[in-house]
Amino acid sequence: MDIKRNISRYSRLIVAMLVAAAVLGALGAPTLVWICVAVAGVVPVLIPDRRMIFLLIAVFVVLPLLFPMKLETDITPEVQNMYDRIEELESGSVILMSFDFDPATRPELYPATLAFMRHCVRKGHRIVTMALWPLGVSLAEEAVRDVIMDEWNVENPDDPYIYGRDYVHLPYMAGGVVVANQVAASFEQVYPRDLRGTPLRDIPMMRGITNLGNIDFTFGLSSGDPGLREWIMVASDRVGIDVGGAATAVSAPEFYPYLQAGQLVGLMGGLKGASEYEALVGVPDTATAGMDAQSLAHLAIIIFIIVGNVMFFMDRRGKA
Amino acid sequence: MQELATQDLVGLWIAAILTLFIFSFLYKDNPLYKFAEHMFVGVSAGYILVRTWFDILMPMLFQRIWIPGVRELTVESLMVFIPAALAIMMLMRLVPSAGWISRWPLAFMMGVTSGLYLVMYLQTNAIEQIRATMVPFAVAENDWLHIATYLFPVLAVVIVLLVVMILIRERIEVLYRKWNIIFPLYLIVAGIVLLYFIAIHRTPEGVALIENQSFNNVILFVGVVSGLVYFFFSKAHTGAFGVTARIGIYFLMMAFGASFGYTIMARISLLIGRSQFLLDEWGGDAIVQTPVWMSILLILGLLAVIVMAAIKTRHDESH
Repeated sequence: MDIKRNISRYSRLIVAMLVAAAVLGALGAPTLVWICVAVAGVVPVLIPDRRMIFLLIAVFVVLPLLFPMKLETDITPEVQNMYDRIEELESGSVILMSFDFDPATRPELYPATLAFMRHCVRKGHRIVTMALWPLGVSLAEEAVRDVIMDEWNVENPDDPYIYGRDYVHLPYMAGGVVVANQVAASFEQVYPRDLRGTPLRDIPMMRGITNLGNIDFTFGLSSGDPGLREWIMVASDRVGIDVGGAATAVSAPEFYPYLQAGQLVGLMGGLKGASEYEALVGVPDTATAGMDAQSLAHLAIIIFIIVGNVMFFMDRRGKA
Repeated sequence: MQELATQDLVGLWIAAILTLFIFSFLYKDNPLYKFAEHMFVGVSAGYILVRTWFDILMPMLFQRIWIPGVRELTVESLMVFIPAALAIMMLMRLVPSAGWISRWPLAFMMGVTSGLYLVMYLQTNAIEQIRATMVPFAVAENDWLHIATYLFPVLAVVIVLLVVMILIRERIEVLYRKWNIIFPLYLIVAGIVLLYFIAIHRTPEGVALIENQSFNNVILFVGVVSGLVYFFFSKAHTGAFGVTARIGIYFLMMAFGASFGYTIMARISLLIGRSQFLLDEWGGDAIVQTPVWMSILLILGLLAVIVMAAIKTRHDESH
């Protein structure tokens, strides 16, 4: 039996992991944390099957969603900077939100979308949505429905957000950086009509917004190319307006050089960045709810890496 | 609890079942996973086609182009013929004998994109990034010290020049034989480090030094220089050059580690997203509100798909 053999071979490792879990429990760590350490440290040793890893990760993601631990989230400077910049803008400022992602990365970027849009609406900023990705259009419509129609307009019937006056949807346009570059010169040249088919010149809000120079802040929701990088090149470096964004965690590290260089005002990296923005706006939503699961899953993966390495070195020593 | 319409309930059930089909791949590859995967690709392609038709082709081409008797002749309505012709030329790829025609619009697209990127990409990713690495080693809230400390990057440039001299030493062989230039380089680096610590610890009264920022800037400088040295392959990585390259490797490994950590976070976030959907939207509202007749239909439908998948698996295995 594999299990019996593994118990005898890795008995020291199993005992060490159980002791570590007991110590964490004695120090007052949340119950789920020390259970995670014990289970993630022992079960894959006993049953070395990759599917066991999948199963454990699934368990450590689902458990905190069912039983939240409410771990605290620190606010990083890059998220705080973006929040502060939106706060500093005068009410009625124009925010361009570019939905450059699709449903495949929705779990990461949609919470950031909602948190940012909620902040803009509360500050009374006007919003122009557009998409360099074809599937981004429906996500823009969904975000407006969730934040403006179902939330703000229901809670504030005396001061509703009205299409054409406070927000406008622009359709998808192919071309990536070419579109961004053309928008810098003229919106109407690229978008003769909005998503509803109304000529842009007939939309009251767009009368004073002829090109990117009339935008106060560009917010790119990026899951690849074209995306935030194109907006940095055009809006920040060419036109000279503030650019912030939310990127999938995979691509977030690529944008830190731009933050350091001041080409990017702020950045929400993955679900963590979204949860920070939710905390700043004061409306905890799905990103905040997911942070416990994220933390516990990361802890489990760290344990897997440690245990895997220890097993590797024990095996090598045994062979020698 | 939010009241769900019938079409929303059906949508939630379909989404939940397809999610579970996709998760079934974790056990092993199977027809249910393939079915969901193909459906995702097909639906996405169909959606993109519809969006492209209504958002681009209709407003940008068909509603602008000159059609006798329908739209009057203007410069704009004639200009649209150019992209229309390029688009048709692109479709020539479907005709093997005329496939070469599609190279013309491709060349046009590549030319335009290259022209745009050449300037903007260089500005954003080279010039701005180089400018951002020219930072003072000691940052103070007071302006005069801030300006004075720009002397440090000047010294840094001297170091870089010295390194370049070492690299092209074959060409200045005489000079190199006369003095071992590595030695003065060590001295200058040691001098700069010494000056840096003096600046940090012996600031004049009333000067508020931002130590974190100063330290970050030093790290940035070391990381950039050593990272660049690592990618210089025209000289063997030995001696002082090798040590610098090794430091560069450590910086690169840290960058890769950060990327790996973020990648793990991304994958877990996607799992969290689907778990929240299954637990909250489907498990919370949809299951409770699903009428009995719909449950029976869904279960029968699901069974039919599973049976078909099993038959296909058996058929594939027998062949």
